[in-house]
Amino acid sequence: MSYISGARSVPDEQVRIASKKMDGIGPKKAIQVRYRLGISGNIKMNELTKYQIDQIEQMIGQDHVVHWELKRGERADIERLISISRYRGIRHQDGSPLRGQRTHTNARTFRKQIRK
Amino acid sequence: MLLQSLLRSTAAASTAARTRNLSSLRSNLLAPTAVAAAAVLSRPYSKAKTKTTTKGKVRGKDPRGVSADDATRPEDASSAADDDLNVEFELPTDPLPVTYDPALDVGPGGRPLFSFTKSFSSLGRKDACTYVDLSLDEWKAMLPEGLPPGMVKEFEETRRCAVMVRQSFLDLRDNFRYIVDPPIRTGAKNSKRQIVLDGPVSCGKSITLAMLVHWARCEGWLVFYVPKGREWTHGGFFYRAPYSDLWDTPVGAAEILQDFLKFNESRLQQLPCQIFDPIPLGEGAGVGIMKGVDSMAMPEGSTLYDLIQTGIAYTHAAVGVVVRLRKELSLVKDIPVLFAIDQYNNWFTFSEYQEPVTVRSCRPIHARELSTVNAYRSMMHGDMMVGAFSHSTAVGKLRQELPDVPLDARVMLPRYNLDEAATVCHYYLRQRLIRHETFSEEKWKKIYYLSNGNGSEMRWLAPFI
Repeated sequence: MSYISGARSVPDEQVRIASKKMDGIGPKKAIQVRYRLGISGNIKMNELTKYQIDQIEQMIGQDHVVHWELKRGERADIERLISISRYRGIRHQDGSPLRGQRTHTNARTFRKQIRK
Repeated sequence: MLLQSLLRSTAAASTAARTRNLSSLRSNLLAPTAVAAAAVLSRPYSKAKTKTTTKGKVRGKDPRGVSADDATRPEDASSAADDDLNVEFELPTDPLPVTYDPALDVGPGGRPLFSFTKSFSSLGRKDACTYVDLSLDEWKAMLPEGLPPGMVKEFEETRRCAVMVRQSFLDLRDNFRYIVDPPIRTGAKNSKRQIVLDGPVSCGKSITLAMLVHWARCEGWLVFYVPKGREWTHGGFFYRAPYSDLWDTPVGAAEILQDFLKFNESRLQQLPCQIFDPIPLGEGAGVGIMKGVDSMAMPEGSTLYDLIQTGIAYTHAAVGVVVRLRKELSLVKDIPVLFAIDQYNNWFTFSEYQEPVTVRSCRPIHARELSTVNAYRSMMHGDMMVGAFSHSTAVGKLRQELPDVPLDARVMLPRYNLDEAATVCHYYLRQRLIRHETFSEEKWKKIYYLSNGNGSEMRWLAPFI
């Protein structure tokens, strides 16, 4: 088991699957990172050298916001909305949906996530 | 043991003819034992392993879950013992058991089903529509790079490593034979040095190419055989070459060199290098570019074996060595050199690799942009080369006029004709894919017309007779 940019990776997992497990890296960015480093689709994590893993971390760290930095940025945005008393900030505080959904019924998913 | 098998074979033949109503297939089996003896001596099964059983009977199980005994269940109780005897002797597998009876190898019209030969060199036109039986070890020894998937499947389903000699293969073999050893009268006028084997699905392109490689290696040729051309454009790492606009695949290049070395090691140690320019270095597999060094010199007096070992040992030089090897092989004049590429159509389409262009988009890399493919794809040269297309790799339809391929290089391999289909069905009958009691000329012809001569479909339909 190893970690790349804070994401745990299984040795037998393909790179194209493992790279999507990082927070902030989706399918498109994962493909971009792979192709820039010259890694094809069937390469597994245990076939990568330390040089290549360092290259992946360096590339992700330079061009993308991932893991705890991404979460910190999201949290900062929410706190900014709360601090300036915006409607959206109040809705974040209340744990209610803030993108115009109905709350007379439904809205269970959003409330469940906030309670967690 | 040999004498016992002879006695048993004659006993089995005589009792089978006397007690059971057999088809004309069996009636032709009353051949002199001398013929059987000669066949016994020349058959490869004389080296087969001996099987020890507790009850003295050799029992085998059909891969479809039907045991050999069930397949030959006697119609009446009186012939149960005879059928058990037949089961003991008729279990064609690889390697063939000692009790195997070659007298039962009868093709359509009573002709022999197998050609008793170890190589494809001695086969002539009269041997068309016969089978050549080699063991799996022999195949792997001659083709250590790997067997085509279609061939492996045929061997698995028939439980025997035999291939049919077709007229198209004999023509292909003679084409290259006349290039190296031209006839006195006609010369090598009509012989083609570059051939692209094309044809419908499951018409035998890969197997024909494998047989050609087997023949060429038996003749002592130097054969560069690529059983899976798709692997050159898929998998591994890919990097932009620092010395050209092409793309390097160091992992694939190392595998290419290792495969080439498997059969040709001793021959390559005798061939000296004729180009002494330094080999350009690229990016290694997962190790980056070598700093301060951009080329590697080959010492004078080195052989092709040394060149290939350099490419295997140094990942930065692998691609450069593969490209250099192509030029070196074209300068070899001591022995005939043949390039045999299977799945050749994969080199005329896009590879798996892509190049990032913007933050959100990538450009697919064509196969011709790869250094290795670019070096070996072209047929515009004077070397002997055969490329076989494959429908198993989802390439799609290519245009008739391919780049870097002569216009007259395409050869359409036909599917089975009626004679070949008859031989195939008799072979499947021999290998227990078809039951004796249901086999008839009308039924195998139905299969042939239903499948339109498609080899794999005929094999799939055979048990339904």
